[in-house]
Amino acid sequence: MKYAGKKLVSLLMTLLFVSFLVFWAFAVIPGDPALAQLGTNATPERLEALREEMGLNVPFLQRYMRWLLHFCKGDLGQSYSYHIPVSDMILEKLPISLCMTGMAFVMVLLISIPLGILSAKHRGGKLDTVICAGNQVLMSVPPFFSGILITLLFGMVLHWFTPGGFVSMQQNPAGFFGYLLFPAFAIALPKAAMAVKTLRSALVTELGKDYPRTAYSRGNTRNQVLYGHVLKNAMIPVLTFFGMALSDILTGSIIIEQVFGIPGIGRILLTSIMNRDYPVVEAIIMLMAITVIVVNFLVDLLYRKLDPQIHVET
Amino acid sequence: MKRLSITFWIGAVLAGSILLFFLIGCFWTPYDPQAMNASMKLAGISIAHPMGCDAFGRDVLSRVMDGGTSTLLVACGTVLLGAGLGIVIGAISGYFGGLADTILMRIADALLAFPSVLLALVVIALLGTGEINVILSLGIAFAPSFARVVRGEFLRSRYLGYVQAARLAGASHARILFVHILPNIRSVLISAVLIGFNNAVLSEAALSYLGIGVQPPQASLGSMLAESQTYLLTAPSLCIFPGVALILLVLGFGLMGDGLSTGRK
Repeated sequence: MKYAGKKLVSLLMTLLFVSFLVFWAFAVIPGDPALAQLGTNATPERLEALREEMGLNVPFLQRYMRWLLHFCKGDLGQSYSYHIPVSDMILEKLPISLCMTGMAFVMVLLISIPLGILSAKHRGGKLDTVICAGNQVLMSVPPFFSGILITLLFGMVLHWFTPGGFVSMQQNPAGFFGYLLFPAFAIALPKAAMAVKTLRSALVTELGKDYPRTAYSRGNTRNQVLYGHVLKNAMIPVLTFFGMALSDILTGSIIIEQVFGIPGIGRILLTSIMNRDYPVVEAIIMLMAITVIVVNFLVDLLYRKLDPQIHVET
Repeated sequence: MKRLSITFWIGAVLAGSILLFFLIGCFWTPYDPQAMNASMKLAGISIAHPMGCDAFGRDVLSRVMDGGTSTLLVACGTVLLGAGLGIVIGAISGYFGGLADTILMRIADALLAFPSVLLALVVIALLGTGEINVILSLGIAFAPSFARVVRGEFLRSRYLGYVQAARLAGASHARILFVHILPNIRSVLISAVLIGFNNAVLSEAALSYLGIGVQPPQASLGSMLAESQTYLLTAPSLCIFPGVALILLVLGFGLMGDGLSTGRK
């Protein structure tokens, strides 16, 4: 696997560069975090002591190396405003955000694959037109607006869930998943619409090639050609899309958490930005970027597995 | 002149009418969008207030027009900045290749690893909230994807006959880049700009929904949606109108982009 090795090296390089970028960005901003933390009770001695304690007195590169080493060991630093380890803060909320992202992703798959196939099967027909038009509209709805509409429809009119009535997994697992179903759906909708569009156009392109015709002439039925021959090839561009969709789903979850009042990672990120609690912001941004980079790496490998014809030189 | 598909025209009419609506909002709104009127608190739809009034008795129609204007402003600024940066970087990277290309594309790849709203959040965390900072942050966030598209086109163009001919005729690199190649890749650029514009509108709305875009009391479609959530059951129209305005704008540009790419077959 020479290709995988090469990709792995470039993955590590990107990760290193991203970490440097994040650390650098938060180091060059004007303002002294130690001073900000002490506020009005700052005396020169206390300031100096705190700067020493926070490790602000060493040169930038040394600070970066130390931060990176600690990060790799899982020590994400101390929150400025809560004075607890950042990793504790994140670990506590991570399951919530992960569950929601995972559910949204599964929903995208469950909605888009059958609809995409259906649409391509009846291409040019009435059903296809309806699906395509619906797609175009759904793609234009910002997730937080569909979140609001879902709250209105399912929460306030139909009373399927209580808006703002989030319960933690420990308290009530069924209620927890039941509540997350709705925000996950709001995130999934626009992505599912785009996935249907991608899958449909990939299927239509593949169906227009020569090999489905050959398959028909050998006596295969429509379904045999569609599921046995065409679908596998059409999944290749769709796979790339699913990889890219993940980063949008991650961002989407930050916003949707606000709509539905869910205390997840997005909530911590936003309050930390408002409070200028940089270690927390750095850690969350790094984790999200790492997730995106690693997923794209895996998609690249899978891509290669699915289509041996691809020989990209990078 | 190529014939454009019906999809394009539906999109153009939609986008055009909503743009006109917002543009009117630049110069004239039926009421002062900031003027509060306690007696009209959460008033329903009427002839005087076709979209009703919000919790402070402000006219929703005026606020949608005004908010749309600021959304447009931010989106245009973002696309100008993002596309400008992207074109310059992509052109240099694709045309000259070599070390510059490797370095620039590594940086672009690293930036692309951050979801764009997340990148914007970082820049805002660093610079503070406000309209200019939103444009700056989203522009930076969008530049890498523009650069990627433009780079691919320049890379393809650099070996084409007309570029070689221009070089033989003694044209400078800058002239070849921006006078010869750039106009030739306009169709790709237009699609990229349309998609970028939509992403900018949606991201701006998301940021101001989160309360870190345009600051109150100035209206913005995103912040209006955030405010409407408190009165969702009593006054659903508060969220419907700004939301629908947003959808129509994005839908119009989306259809235009779609129509262009299918019409080019």
